[in-house]
Amino acid sequence: MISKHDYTIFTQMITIMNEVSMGDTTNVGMLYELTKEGAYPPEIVNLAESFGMMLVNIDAKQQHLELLLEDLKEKNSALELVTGNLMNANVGMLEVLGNAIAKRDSDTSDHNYRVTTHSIYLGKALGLSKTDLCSLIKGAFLHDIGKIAISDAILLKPGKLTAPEFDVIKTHVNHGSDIIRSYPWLADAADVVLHHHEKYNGNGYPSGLKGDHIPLHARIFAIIDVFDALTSKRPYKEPIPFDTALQIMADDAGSHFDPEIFEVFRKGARELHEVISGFKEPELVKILHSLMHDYFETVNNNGQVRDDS
Amino acid sequence: MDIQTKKEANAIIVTVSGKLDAVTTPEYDNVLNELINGGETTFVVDFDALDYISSAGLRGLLVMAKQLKGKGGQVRFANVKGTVKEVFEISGFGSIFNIDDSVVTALAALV
Repeated sequence: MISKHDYTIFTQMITIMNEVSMGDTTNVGMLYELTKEGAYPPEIVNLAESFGMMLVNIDAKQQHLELLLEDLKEKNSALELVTGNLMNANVGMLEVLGNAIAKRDSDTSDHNYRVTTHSIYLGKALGLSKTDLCSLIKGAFLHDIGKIAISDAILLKPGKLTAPEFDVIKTHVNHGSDIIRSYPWLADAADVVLHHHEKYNGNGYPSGLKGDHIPLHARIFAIIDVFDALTSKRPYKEPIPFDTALQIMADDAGSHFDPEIFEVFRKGARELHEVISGFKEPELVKILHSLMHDYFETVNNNGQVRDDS
Repeated sequence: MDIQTKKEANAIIVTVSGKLDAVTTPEYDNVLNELINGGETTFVVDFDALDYISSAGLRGLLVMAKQLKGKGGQVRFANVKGTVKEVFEISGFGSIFNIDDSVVTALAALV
């Protein structure tokens, strides 16, 4: 039999429980007051104690979640730093590798920097996505990496190559592809490395691919590679004037080159060439770094974005 | 409930004995509040002589811990055993509090 007094306390408790269930813990203190043994009827004390334990339990779980969240945030920051550092390392190595290869058959790495810079501009003009531009950049910089597997006798031969010797040179694309495929971050450069000597009409190598079967990045790069070969100084030739080079290439649009891509290239080529052709290696390096900065988010060790000035 | 405090080099050791319930927890709250307001931030609570803790006592510990966290302080619990240990486990205190086997271990961990 519940006394009137007990009933009042009971309804008080129910009120507090309702408040707590709505998120209002202002009167929770009263609930704990009701857990005092001997001060209130045992049924009320027990009920209040159970409810109090429930609240403690929930509070403890909440605090645990907060601890886990803090820990997670810390780990996330550390991970971002590691990722940034890894990107730094990969991009740095890309340059080191490309420059190392350039030393084999030319004293400067200007060619690599120029063709990569030109490729970025052509890629952007064609509307390539950021991911695709990154692949193109990697492929452009490392396009001739396979030359490392070609013997000096053939690679550095001053005179004209015999047919068998030319066959050996052609293998540089396969060697290059082998080399980069073994490292996941470089694997997407394979399109350019393997197929930059294909021709639009199918007369190229290694696979004699034709038209759109040639990967897009390779079609883009082929134009840039030939353009730079024509317009730059080599040990065996002087640079060909811009207009002559463009005319020579225009004659091959459709046979050697993808005609649509060539049109886009032709539009932007003069301006870009005028700017870039005068630069020496240090300036070329800076230009490429600042361009790559947009595509590879390189960060320094403090987690700040790399500044090459 | 009896509560004793002792200042060590790097922490205040709070020894509780008897029961921590709705009747005795206010005294615990007062002692701790005074110390915390006086600038103390590092505590070790010795539960060796504590026989019983109710929901009110547990709540008192949670409140103290939150207060300390807000001031960049910390607390470790030592000698939690018997029924008190069981209650701690059921309440999930193990995942949010540092619990040590002895006061000595707790003090060492605070260095």
